[in-house]
Amino acid sequence: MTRLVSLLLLVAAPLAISAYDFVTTKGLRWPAGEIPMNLQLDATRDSQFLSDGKASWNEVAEEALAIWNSELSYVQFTSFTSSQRGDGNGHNEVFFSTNAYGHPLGDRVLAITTAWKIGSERVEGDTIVNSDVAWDSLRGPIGFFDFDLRRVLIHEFGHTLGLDHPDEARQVVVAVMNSIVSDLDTLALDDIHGVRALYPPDAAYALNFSIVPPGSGSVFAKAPPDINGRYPAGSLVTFLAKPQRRFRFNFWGGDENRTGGKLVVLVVDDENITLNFSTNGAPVIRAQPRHQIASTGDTIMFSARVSTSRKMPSFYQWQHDGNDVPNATNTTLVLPFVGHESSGLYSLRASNARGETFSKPARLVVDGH
Amino acid sequence: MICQTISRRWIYFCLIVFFTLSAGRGFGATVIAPSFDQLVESADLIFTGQTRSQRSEWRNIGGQKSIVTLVSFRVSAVHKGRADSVVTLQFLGGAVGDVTLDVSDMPKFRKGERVVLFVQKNGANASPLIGFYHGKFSLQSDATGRETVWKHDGEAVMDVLEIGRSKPTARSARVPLSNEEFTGKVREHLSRSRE
Repeated sequence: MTRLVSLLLLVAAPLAISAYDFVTTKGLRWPAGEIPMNLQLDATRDSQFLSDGKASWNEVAEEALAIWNSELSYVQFTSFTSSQRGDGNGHNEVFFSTNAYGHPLGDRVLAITTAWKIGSERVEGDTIVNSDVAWDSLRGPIGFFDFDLRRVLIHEFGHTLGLDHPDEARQVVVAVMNSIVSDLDTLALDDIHGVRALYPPDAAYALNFSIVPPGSGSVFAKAPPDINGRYPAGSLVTFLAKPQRRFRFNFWGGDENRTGGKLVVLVVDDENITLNFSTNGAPVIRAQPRHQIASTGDTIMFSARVSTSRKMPSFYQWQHDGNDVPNATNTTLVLPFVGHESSGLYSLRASNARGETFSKPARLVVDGH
Repeated sequence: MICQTISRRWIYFCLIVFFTLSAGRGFGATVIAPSFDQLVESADLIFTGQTRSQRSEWRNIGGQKSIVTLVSFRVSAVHKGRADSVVTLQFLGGAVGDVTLDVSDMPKFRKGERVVLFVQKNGANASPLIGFYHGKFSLQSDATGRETVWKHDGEAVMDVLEIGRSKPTARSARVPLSNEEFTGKVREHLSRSRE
């Protein structure tokens, strides 16, 4: 039975795109309880002065584990130091070496994480950090000469948990799990949502919907929320968009960013979702602008293909996080020399005498932000 | 006057160093992404081929047990180095019976997939491809039958200068490189280095 979901907030929440990716699908997550990590970094590399004041490599690893632990309840990393290394002991070993199980890593490899599985049960894995690399422990922008062990270990321990690279799955998101290390030095929302999807917390979350423009349509849920209007973490809920007469549905926005009248949400957080409709005579967005990843100083171009009536004039305006971009009044937007302040969501508003239409927002990620 | 010249030279030097370092700042979380030039120069074998078969088996190196996967390719063109009509590459990881070893960033192949591969130290290194999946380029035919070149992240290669960078430059209205154009760039680079 479908049920009308109450329409709550009209104010858009901070926008995010759920796009985490997993090493494999079901079967490779850890069972509930502890994930024991044998930290052998200090035993396999001499200590040195680290830029963040840490006294040892193991301390860097402990902090990376604690960062993940703060987002976990179903499982928790525990750390210890034992000289008894080996396979088949159920311990995940973290150590410096130039090879993995006798196979040289190669000179371009910073670290790898392995995962051993018997049947569908995950048994152990190792994180091997290349000892030929110059390491430090930093914050903020990545260094030119030394690699930051802390953020590489945060990333590797994400692999230990079962997360993969979202950008390898063609998803443009801010995430420490992206395959490219950036100025981002800790977990981003997408990383947290990913790990909650694998290890759902004992919690329930609210999904709030708003209709843009008000009165242009409604949303139906295929499963009802609990008595408090919430859904249990980890549940999959399907929603359908239904336009009113003389309106058509464009896209799902806010914390979701999808086209198509059917939306399936994996519940991992409170979400504010917008349903974007437009009147039947308004321009139609035929090709949506695409998400892009950039570095400071790049020139980036967004474009949308719009069809509209030739009998009346059409007007265009690009928006950046909801604000008009000056002099951006055609279907292509060129951003020369982008910087961190250019990051965010870009959308084209196309209007004529019959109404207005917004393109699906496209995210620009600059230097990982 | 001399001081000014030295000062300008020093500034130019600093600018060159800065831009060289800036261009290479993006690096893979586990692998430093190689540029196109680095791929071509470091490879001891570059070939176009098609995956034919793969099998996994146990290895024991100095008492350390692991699983490796041997992937065989039917070679259609060799661009650098020497190769027989079939090349078999060894990758750390795979599944034997009930036991699976997954390795982060290791490239994966579909049967029948056409690829251009940049190979270094096959049989020794954990990955025989330079920079793990960065050394693999997939070929896909479009509706006209034109074979275009794609990176591991599902992005088409528009310009070899973008390889190894953290992102492409403005990409609209550009055409992916064809297999012939891409491998032509490899041969062009090799003949330049021989001169």
